[in-house]
Amino acid sequence: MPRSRVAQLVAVIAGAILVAGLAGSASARTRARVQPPTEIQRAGKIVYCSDITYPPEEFYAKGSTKPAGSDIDIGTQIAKLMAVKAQFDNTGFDGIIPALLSHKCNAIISGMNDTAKRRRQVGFVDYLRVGQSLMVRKGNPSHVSGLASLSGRSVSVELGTTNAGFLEKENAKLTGQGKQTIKIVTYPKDTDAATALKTGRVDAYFGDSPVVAWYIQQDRSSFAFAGQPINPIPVGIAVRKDDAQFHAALHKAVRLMYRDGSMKRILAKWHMSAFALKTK
Amino acid sequence: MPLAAVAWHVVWQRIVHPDHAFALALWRTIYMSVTAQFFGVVLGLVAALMRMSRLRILRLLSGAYVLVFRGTPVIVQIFFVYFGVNLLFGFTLIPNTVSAGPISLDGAALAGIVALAVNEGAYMREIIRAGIDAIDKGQMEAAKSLGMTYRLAMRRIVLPQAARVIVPPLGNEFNNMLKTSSLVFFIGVTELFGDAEIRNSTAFQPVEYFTAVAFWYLVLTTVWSLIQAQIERALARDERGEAPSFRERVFQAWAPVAAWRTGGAR
Repeated sequence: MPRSRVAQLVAVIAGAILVAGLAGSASARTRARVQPPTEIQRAGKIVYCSDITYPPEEFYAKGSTKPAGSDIDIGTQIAKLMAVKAQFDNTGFDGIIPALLSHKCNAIISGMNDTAKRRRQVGFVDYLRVGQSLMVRKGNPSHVSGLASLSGRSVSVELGTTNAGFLEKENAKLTGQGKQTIKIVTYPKDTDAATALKTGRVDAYFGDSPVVAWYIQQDRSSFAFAGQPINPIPVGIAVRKDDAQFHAALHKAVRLMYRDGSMKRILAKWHMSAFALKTK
Repeated sequence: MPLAAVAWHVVWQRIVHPDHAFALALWRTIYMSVTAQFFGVVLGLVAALMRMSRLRILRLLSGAYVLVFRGTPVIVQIFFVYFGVNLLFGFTLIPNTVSAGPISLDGAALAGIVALAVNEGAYMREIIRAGIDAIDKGQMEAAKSLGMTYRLAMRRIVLPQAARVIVPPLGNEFNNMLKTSSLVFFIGVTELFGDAEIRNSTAFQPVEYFTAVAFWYLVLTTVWSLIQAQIERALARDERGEAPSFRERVFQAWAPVAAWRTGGAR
């Protein structure tokens, strides 16, 4: 094939792509109820980093490799409002902020607690408010009744969560009082921390209340709550600090979801209505 | 362009001023690797001898052992030893803490040792078998003609010679073991790598913490290569000169660094 014909062909294909792209973005602009930043609009999707081992917020549905959960539904709804697709990249929780900072994704939606320490690295759009709960084996064989009863007991947590940090602070207090500390056993995956409780390797599991509620709902013959939920903390979608436009768009989308009832519907579906933000 | 400058003082601090939790993690990596490797060699030797047995059932068992444990991921084996048995059969294979007199061991660490040892045994069987095969058949015949039994000839004549062939690949295996032991973090044992992961999970400085932990693994593997050189020298006492000396081994291990410093010119 002569050179000029190749060039022609390339030009035609490039032109076709350009036209299709313009048409696509034009129609997207008309449908979007929340205007996304141009970068996301051009990509046609929001990429979320999510540690997909944290039911009911994000997990793989039984017998499938499709992510499911309240965060997945919320993230998908946000993308729908911006007239783009949602993609969820499974990322280990301890590496999830570096993944966001190194542009592996546009945002983190992973049941992440909005804390002062994390705010130093990322910006948050809060969308839930959850407490933490202790879970024990059914019948409570180790007699765990709440935080105060944990001295000298072993508790499993997931690596990199605020739950692990919270227990460490409790330990500092216990040491100050001259009491035995809690034996904190850290697991790289949350589901393994729960398995450790189920197999009697630890006396209790400590995690976010919705997660505990989900584990109990899934396996009533093994698990039960111990004591009352503690420490309500806001949960947020994390974005890069220099991504102000996307931050504002997410904020608008979450507010819209609270107003039009879609948030209420999603939370009810996952038995998480108790964790809705109090909106005026 | 890098996204953020490396906070070298963090790396430096992890290397020069390691804290108590780190020392404990380092100790766990060392004792888990050493005991797992030791029992791995024992299992491998037993399996290698079984494979050469006249009894068909022993040969089959040995083959099945290698097939299963060399053919499945170590992480799955670790899971089954610590969690799987409880979930499947409802009994605890390895208790949560094991105490023997003054020594008390974390059950998870013991489960890790068991899983790593069983896995290692499958690899060691092949290495030991190759070592024994490398010894001339005439050695066994000569020993027998002197009136030695099979077991005595194996112990006194064949195995000591095979050891010389076995040690270099065994050195590789243990070097691997030092690093593979990090998989035991999966069942909640905070060893060297787990310690780095936990620190990183609150500091969010993966480059710093992983660089420091890589340095410590390098220290462990360097120390091991020196020990291995000593073992090889001891085994080659009658043929002194073939095995590298202690100094030569140090030199060889770091030769690429020296070459790099002189710009490749030697």
